[in-house]
Amino acid sequence: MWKASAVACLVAAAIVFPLIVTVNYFLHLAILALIFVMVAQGANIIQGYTGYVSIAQGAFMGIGAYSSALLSMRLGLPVWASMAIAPIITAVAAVIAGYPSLRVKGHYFAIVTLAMNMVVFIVLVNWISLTKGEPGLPSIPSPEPINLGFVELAFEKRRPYYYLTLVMLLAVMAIVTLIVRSRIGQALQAIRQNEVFAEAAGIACWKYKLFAFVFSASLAGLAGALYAHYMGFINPTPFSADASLNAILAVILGGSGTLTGPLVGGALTVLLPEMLRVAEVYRLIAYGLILILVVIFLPRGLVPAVADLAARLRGNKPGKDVA
Amino acid sequence: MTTATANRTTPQDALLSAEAISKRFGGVQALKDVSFAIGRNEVVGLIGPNGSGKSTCVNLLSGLLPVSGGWVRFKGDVITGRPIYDVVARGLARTFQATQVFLEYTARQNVLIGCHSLFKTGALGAISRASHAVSEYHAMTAQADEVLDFIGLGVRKDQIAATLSAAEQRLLMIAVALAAKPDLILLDEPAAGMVAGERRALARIIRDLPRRGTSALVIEHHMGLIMEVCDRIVVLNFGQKIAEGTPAEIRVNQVVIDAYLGHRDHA
Repeated sequence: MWKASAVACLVAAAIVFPLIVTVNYFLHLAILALIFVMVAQGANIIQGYTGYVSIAQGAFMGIGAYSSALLSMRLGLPVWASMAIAPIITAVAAVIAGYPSLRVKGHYFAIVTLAMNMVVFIVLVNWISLTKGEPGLPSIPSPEPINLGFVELAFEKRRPYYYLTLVMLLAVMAIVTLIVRSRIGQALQAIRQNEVFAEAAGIACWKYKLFAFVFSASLAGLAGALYAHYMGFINPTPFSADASLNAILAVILGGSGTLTGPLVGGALTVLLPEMLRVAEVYRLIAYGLILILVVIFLPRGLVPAVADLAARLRGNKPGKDVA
Repeated sequence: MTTATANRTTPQDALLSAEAISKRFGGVQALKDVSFAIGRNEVVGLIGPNGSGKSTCVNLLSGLLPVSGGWVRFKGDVITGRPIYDVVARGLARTFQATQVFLEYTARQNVLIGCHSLFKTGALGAISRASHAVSEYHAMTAQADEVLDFIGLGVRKDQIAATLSAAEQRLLMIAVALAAKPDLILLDEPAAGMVAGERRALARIIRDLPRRGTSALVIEHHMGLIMEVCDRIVVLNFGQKIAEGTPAEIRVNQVVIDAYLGHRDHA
């Protein structure tokens, strides 16, 4: 019960936030955080639930961003349509990439996906006729305005875009929750716990791994599209392997294999470096130190640690499963 | 090959038949032209000294390893080369020599994973919680509970597998394999690490399997258990079948005594 009310409070706070925030830059950061939470939630599906660390979320974000931007600019599709098609294109790319790479396990899979990220990055930089290379794509259109009768949502403004991103994220969270709690999600977690035994128990592991990989990629693709139409400009830089590593970090930081972990982890990965600006030149050192301390002292992540603490305060034994 | 053929099942009416299966690991011939059959509602023992190819045989039958020669027929279809999950879905389950369970799951969740091949509703129905998917899930949960009761872990069904004792984890592994009501289960040293009392309980479970419509192939080093539960025994030595017959026949078979039973340290 307390879990449901905590979620309700969080959603309420997210709705109220743009109405009370006075500094525009904070709203900008919040939008970036929401977008990155989506990427992290995708990473959580393959890494946290299925147990396969993929270092390609950045590339899939890039594929989504460039697909949506180019579809709307070159083909003149409505932005809403291009944003809907972008995750599908990303999913197709993930099927092609995932089918061969999911044959290898553990570190080998991580390395293959890292290589994929580098390949995508190189293509984005060098396919100049399509992507304009390093200088990037300017003047990406915003989604067409929506008239709700009492208010018109013009998405080139920050506040409406914040709500757009929030609604998308909530939808994604709902779908992820349904998947994780279904027998499909149970099969994914069985694969993480013991893949050989899962196969011997009758689970066609390759299908489930491919599903997890493709679904996680399409979330990154959607996040990439949201990013492109928000920023109005993209170049390859934010889609390098660094972004993928940040997504992995977000999952570990928040709590791998929990639904709320990526919310916390994803937001922190965006906001923490900003909050540490007070430390000036020592900013990155402080950031690194915090990450190392969390991984050492809270290896299951922040959300499970806080949930354990809350359970202890209520006099229960620390809970095993955190959703 | 001295083969006792008292009540031998012929390959035609067999549930499973191994037909001249062989396995070669580089230069090592682990299994050579081994043939035998298992009938419906029959418990067959597979014994032999360490390294005689028993586990390799189970790995070939279950599809965990590809055969180097020969084929395996199950319910009339050749299943060699099929992936293990497909073999399971056809009704041929297995357990492992080293205990395997899903440690973070409760006993019931473990067995539900074993039910996976039985689900008829698709992924979309399961995710969107369509009413028929939900009722199917409840039916599977009831089936999982029944299997746990049968195996003697009914009172433990909500306990996390990691907190079960070693013997209970072994039983849970068998419960997962039995979850989908297989026609045949391959048990690779099910009694390993069990004390006498637990072994007796296991013997009862194995003897009851045919009544549930499940045949069994049992690999064991505990001759007491094998002689007690098996209708028929196949004996391997150096990757070849050296004998086959009823427990009474095997007990007095001179070839088997020389190769295996005579060595007390293995018995």
